[in-house]
Amino acid sequence: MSIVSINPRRNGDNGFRDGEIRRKRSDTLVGTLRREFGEKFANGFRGDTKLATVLRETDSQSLSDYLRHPRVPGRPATARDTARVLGVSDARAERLINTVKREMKLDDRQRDGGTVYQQADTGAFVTKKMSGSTHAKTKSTKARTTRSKKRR
Amino acid sequence: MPRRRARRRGRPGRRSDARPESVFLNIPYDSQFENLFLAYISAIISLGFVPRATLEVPFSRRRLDRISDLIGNCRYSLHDLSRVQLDRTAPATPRFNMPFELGLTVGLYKAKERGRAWAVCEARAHRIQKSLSDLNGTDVYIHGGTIQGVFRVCREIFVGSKRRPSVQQMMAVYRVLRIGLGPTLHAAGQDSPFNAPVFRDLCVMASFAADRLIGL
Repeated sequence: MSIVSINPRRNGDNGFRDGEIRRKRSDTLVGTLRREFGEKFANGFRGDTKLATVLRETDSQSLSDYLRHPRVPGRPATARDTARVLGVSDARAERLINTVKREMKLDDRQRDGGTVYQQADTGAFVTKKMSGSTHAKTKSTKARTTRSKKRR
Repeated sequence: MPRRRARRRGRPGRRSDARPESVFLNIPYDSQFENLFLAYISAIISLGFVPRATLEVPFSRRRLDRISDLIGNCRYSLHDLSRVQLDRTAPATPRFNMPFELGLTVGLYKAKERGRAWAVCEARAHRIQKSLSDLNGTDVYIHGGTIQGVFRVCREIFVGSKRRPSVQQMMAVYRVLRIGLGPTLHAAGQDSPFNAPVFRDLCVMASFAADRLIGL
């Protein structure tokens, strides 16, 4: 594989290695590079994008750095994207999203001190939580008892 | 006139409608691997990719062709070769599916255009030098058979991903998936997550959890 650099000074070897490396200017268009590196090169960028823009947006030092590491210029997959790619229907995806919303609420409540039980018949998760007021009362009663004991 | 043309062409450098990238996940489908299966799904989705697996491919005469198509459609692929032990059920045999699919991937990726990448994961260091010595000289990622280890190696492999979640954030997604597994299995009438409907449901659920917990 030929290694191509747009910043030869950074390499310290003028960007040429093994006599087969060609330098690319930073204003080379992605469309031109796709002819050399394949149609999937810089997937997500338009053909009239400059190489410098691709490198800046993917935090790459050079073209060789960009080619060496798998970089994803496109946006990360959302739940809708995942559903579409995997062939899950919109209605099903909506139901699953609502389930996760409920689970995340339950998870938050569990973190707050509740206990999560799984119902045997439906398999759903139910949270039982001691109310704040009861807990406070218990605490205060305990404190009062201690104080009274001290007085004695 | 030039103004109108500029408007029609759009701003140079602006991104087109980017399609999210998929990762082919090649892992053993057995009950002992359930935690790591969920960990891989959580990690891949947290990093902004869509996991694909042979679970989606139905058993038919053209199964091998469909697996090849699936691998060919994924830009990246992850191969876990940690299950090298003999099967417990008689006749005791090792699983050859994972090394076979790794070979298929390497062949396909060599034939296709550049920019594709595959990575191999193992639970124990140096074992692959004995089990698959053809990979000598290739970096193998060691996860140690732990959930955190899987998160760590996935972050190392996809160092250039746009979304950079921490191990803790991945763990939060895993936690949501773990809580959701019971009701999902119940709804699908299954007792194992290694089937297409459960796998798809888990991926959508994890993806939504990642959107919420990590952000876009």
